Amino acid sequence: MEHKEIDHITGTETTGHAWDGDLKELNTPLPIWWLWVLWITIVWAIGYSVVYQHWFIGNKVLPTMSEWTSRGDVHNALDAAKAAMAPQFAKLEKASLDDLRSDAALSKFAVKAGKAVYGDNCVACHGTGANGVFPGSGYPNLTDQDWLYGGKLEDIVETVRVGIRSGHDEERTNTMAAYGDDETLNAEQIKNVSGYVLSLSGGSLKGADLVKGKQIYLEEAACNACHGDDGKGVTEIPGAPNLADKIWLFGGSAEKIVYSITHGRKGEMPAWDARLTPAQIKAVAVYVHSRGGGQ
Amino acid sequence: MNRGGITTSGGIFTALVLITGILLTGYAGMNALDVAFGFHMYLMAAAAILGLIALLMGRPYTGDAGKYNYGVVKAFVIASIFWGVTGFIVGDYIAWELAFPFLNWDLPWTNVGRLRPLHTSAVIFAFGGNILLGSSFYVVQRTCHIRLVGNVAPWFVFWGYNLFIVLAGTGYLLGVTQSHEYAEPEWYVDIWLTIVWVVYLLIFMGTLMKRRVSHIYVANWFYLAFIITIAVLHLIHNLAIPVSFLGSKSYSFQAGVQDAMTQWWYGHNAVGFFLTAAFLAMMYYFVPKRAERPVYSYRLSIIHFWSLIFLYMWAGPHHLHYTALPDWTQSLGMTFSIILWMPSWGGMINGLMTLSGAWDKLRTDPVLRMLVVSIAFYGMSTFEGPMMAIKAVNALSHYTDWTVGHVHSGAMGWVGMVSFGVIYCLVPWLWGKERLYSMALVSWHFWLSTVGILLYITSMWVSGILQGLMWRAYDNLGFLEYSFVETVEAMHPFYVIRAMGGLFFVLGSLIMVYNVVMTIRVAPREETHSSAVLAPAE
Repeated sequence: MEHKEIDHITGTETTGHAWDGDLKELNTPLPIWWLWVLWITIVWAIGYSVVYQHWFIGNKVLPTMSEWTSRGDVHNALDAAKAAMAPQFAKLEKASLDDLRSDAALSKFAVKAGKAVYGDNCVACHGTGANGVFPGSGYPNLTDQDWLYGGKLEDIVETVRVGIRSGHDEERTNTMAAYGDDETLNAEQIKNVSGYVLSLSGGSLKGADLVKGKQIYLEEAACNACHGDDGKGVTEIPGAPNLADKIWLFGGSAEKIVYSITHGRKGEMPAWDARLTPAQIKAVAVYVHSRGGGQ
Repeated sequence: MNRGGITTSGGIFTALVLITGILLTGYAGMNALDVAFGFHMYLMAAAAILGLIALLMGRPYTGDAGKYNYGVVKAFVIASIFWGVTGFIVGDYIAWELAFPFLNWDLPWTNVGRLRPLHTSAVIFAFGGNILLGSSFYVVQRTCHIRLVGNVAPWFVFWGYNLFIVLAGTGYLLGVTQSHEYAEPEWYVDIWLTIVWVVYLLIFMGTLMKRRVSHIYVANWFYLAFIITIAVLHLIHNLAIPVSFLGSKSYSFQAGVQDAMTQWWYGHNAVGFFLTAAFLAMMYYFVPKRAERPVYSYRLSIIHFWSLIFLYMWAGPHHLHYTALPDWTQSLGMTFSIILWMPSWGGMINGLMTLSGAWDKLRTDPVLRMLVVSIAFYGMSTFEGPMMAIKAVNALSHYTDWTVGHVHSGAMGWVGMVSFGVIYCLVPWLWGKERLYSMALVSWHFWLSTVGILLYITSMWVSGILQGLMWRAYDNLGFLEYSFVETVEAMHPFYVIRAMGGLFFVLGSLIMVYNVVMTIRVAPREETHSSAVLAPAE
């Protein structure tokens, strides 16, 4: 039944086909703007390929009108950035740490370069602002005044270079013994000495327990050998934290301190000398130093 | 109609296939080299046993005895709703996980890496696939004026396809994947899908060939293009060599940049033929039906159909701009994507202009409003797509959340909304109801979805463009301004907004579930059967 009726609303002829009762089609011509845009995109596509790609006739490859390649695009951008930074990097390469202290322009460059190095390598553990990811997580805040292996530029450069318990030949290391696991102290003693440690920074332990805790600290466990009689550390022994400053690398609750004394602590940081250039290490040290905690 | 059991040739053939399947999978399950494979083999064996029991009881023959086979269509509609809600919830859950990572509970099964393919497959292949298969069975019958061919075969496709989904989904959670995006299931699941898909093709083609009208309706061109192209894509992209026929692991036939190119030839045509052509087929039937208006332009439908089919095939390389893919291939992908703009919009024009003379219905019919808004989202994302395929734009947008937003404006706005509209059309028609249980609830669903989608895509635009600009920001000395972690931190508020948008979308879909259940259970039955009124002139 090819009966081409006229649709009364649009005034357009139908194709005369009908399905499922009332399903019909109008025979409207293609919208002219639609056809124009389609042709324009086709012409543009041909033009683009002539400008940016090689066409060929038989075996003869025609030249492109532009020398553009995506790989070249990236290389050009990288080369331009490297060239722009080259003089400053050359200076940084040769500069001693004292030069960095005295040359404000170079130091500013080093802070920027260091921030980039820090952002790609250090943030995962030390956080975007260098102030630690979570307090007590074992990853130190680098903006406070508390330094395990020294906060001078020279110290930071060395720590970044060799790491801590990193397996590097010159690694920084020391040992916080596991007093519980080694059975040097029993649970009662550990509880007492942890109470005493907390009292160094204002904890509430008093009376006989305090006396017992102090005795363990000074004698049975000899904590003072590394942490000092007053808990503020011993200058000659790097890596032993100050216990009296309320800054806790592994958490300052009684529970966490008991855990630290029972099992010991062995935080690790990788050595970066294989991954970063000496200039980058210098730069990242300057950046960290500039975050507020440098000595 | 044969009601006597399995004594048709189709029944006997299916029984033999099922018995062979039980033996094969049982053997493979007992000798499996890894736990996941063993589990899957026993699952397949159990499914085959249940299928055999159902067949012996004559279940496929006791269903719908009317002029058309509606039983299997009903099953597809219900499956689509079930998987849709599941997929939306999983999607929104991982959206919250991205905003608040502790929500993965440090468990391997619940991290984003495993839940993401569960989400994408559930919404694309389970929600979308079931409504596509179901609606194609409905539309091909109604527009060919003949019952679907086969009694057992359509049910085999229904259960077989949904078994594929269960195998794929459980596989992801157990860590079984061939690491091809949108084609994660391993070789044995791929073989199973191939069998199901070929049966699907035969049913569709068979029904078309037996049609009682001379012309093939436009919706059927799109459905057939979808079925054939998906078969080709699936077969070539999944070519792989299993390590053992008794284990889940396989290695792809291709490697390196060839593998990447095949991946995105497949991936982009999955968008083109699964998520575009097939859903356009739904649009071409349900929009004119619902608006009670003729399709706007037959000529446009021909031109845009063939140009769409031809051009989509070449657009895939735009997913690989600035990679190891040769520049000429990238240029090819980009230029074909630009040319694809108008052919895509042909569908939008035909859908929207079909409403001329019926625009007033948008005020009173929220179902039609859903269909129309879906076409608007289709138009928007098919403009955004070619734009993002331009190398200079892609240099900013690639790998950012902008891509995620683009995908979801297509997936939630176009695919989701058009499917909801079709479900709301189909449920009363299939179950012989006068109307839906509540039009007010459809309106609620419409607004929750629309607001949810807008929250989703606007937050991802801001997030994506911000992310892209932060990645490329240099300071005056030539150093990158931001570390990667800083860009991740900056995304947080947008991830929360996105997850809120997803929650709106989920709530809307739950309202749909209630409305559909109540329509089936309590809505009044239709007085005069519509198929009598609409009976085709033969």
